[in-house]
Amino acid sequence: MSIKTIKQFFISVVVASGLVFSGQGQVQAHGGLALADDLCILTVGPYTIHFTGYQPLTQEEEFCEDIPEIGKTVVALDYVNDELRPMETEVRIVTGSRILVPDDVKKVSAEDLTSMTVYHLPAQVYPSASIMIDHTFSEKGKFAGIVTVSGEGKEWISVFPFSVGEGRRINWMTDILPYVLLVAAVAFFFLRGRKKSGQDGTPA
Amino acid sequence: MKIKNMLKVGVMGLYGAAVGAATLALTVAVDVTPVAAHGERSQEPFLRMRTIQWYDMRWEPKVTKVNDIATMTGKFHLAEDWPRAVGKPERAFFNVGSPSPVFVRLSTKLNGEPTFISGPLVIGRDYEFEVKLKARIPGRHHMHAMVNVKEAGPIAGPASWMNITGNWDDFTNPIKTLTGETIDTETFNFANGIFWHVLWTGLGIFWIGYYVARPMFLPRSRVLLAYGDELLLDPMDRKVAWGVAILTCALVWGGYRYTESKHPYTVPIQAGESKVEPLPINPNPVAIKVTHANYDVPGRALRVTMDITNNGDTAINIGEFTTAGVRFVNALGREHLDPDYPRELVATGLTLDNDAAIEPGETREVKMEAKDALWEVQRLMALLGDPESRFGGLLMTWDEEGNRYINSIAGAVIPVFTRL
Repeated sequence: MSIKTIKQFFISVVVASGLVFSGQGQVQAHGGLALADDLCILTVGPYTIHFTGYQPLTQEEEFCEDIPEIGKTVVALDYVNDELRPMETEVRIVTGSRILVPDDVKKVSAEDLTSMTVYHLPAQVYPSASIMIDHTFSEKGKFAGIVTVSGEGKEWISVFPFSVGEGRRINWMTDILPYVLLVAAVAFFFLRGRKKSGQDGTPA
Repeated sequence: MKIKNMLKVGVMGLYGAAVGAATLALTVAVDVTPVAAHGERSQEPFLRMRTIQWYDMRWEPKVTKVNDIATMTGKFHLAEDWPRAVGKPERAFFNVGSPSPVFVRLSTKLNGEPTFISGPLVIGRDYEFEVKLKARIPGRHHMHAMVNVKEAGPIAGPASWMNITGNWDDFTNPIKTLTGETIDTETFNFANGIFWHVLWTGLGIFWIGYYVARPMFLPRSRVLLAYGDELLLDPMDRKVAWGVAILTCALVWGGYRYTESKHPYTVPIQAGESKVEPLPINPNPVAIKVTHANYDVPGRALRVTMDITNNGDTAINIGEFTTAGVRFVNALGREHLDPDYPRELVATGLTLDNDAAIEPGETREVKMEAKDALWEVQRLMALLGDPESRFGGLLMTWDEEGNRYINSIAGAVIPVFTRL
């Protein structure tokens, strides 16, 4: 093994390590929703709510944020913080892209908000710390979920824009990269084997 | 060694150092944050629900000063539905789960007997424990009761936050030895411990380093396989090996003689087996047979259908279902709930299809629902992905005189997305 090969190996290791670890510890933000530590978390003010989406008729896997297909959709919101139990929570799903952040909610009139709303759970206390949203999305498009928590004279709003019916997002690191690496490895050994057999067959 | 080879080895060493530095840098760059709990939620639900079933747990007081005494008390039942995949508790050790030795454990009693070694526990029976702890490291600590079971591992019980105030430097743990001398185990022979660690580590590094400096392990192995060991041995190797062997024996023997002369009266670390009898079986007039159970996945509710027979003389009412330390209570259960029990482990969503008492001699089909986000937050319904999806827990009933009866129930559970 030459110095050059060793050098290439070590540089590859360092670069690969950097690529692998560069994404660690970060969250994939999507409005108030974020995937942190393999959990889909909705942040509302100082509190966190665990978000789990299901499409029991068409999807086996749970989802976070974007809804893969149209049809019956069930979302469970579970309070992670006990402080949320006595508070009131309101949930609203609106169409379009007018509301992307909490400040946008105040810019929309009450009439417009009502006309944009496709699903609404009025503000109420959930002593079991779990809210179930059961809605059938009949068409594809852009939507936004608005979760409003109020209690002790304060109110916090969280907005998470999402799409419906655009399929599952492709995760390049887990869905594509392993196959590319596998094909590259097979090609490498195949070509090396051919080259070696060609050299062995060369007359002296 | 030729100059070229030395240069080659030197360059390799530099690259090795670069990789080491990069690894260290990555550990800093990667978000490494301290954790306060012990990953108990990642422990398989069948371990938490169907093995050791904890109840009547108390942590007192919740705030202590360094050097003060705290106690952890409670009871546990060994579930009759103990999973087939988990080692049976034929050798178990009662322990405490804490984030490092924040408390010093002074004593452990099982059913009133001092217990400091492991022993068998009996499935289907109950035990009562009391642990005395001495506050050591200031902070807010998550303290679990725990049972270590051979071939099953540690099975953690519910935990409560316990606070220690004061200064760690003030901590002392004095004990009186057999010879009447008082020593502080926090600092006793600290330098001696460091000396022996450094000595043995140094000897080990020398032994490995001696051979690493010569042809490395892989070339040596290839030569050994191809030509035998004659080529690899030189007289110096034999001399070094004999020197290290003699030095090791001398250190062991000398250390032993020195300890014997300095501390002539010692008590060996105790082995053997504890033989603690389980608590006597209390008369229980309640018989329960689980006939059906399902888990409403988005509704976060376990629904159990069971036949309950009251063989007693007075009517009984259901008040609590507890599993994995999570207590689902209704109005009756709340009356008996310890207000100091960790709030994050209490769920008020226990409901029944018929709240009327079960009369003496009556057998009734009862539909019970235990509903709360804690099923998901505590990751208990991960059991739906297990090849054996069964729930387990303790159902508590009270008669009109306030007597409590505890039944361990279990059954297969089916996931559903709607109310069936």
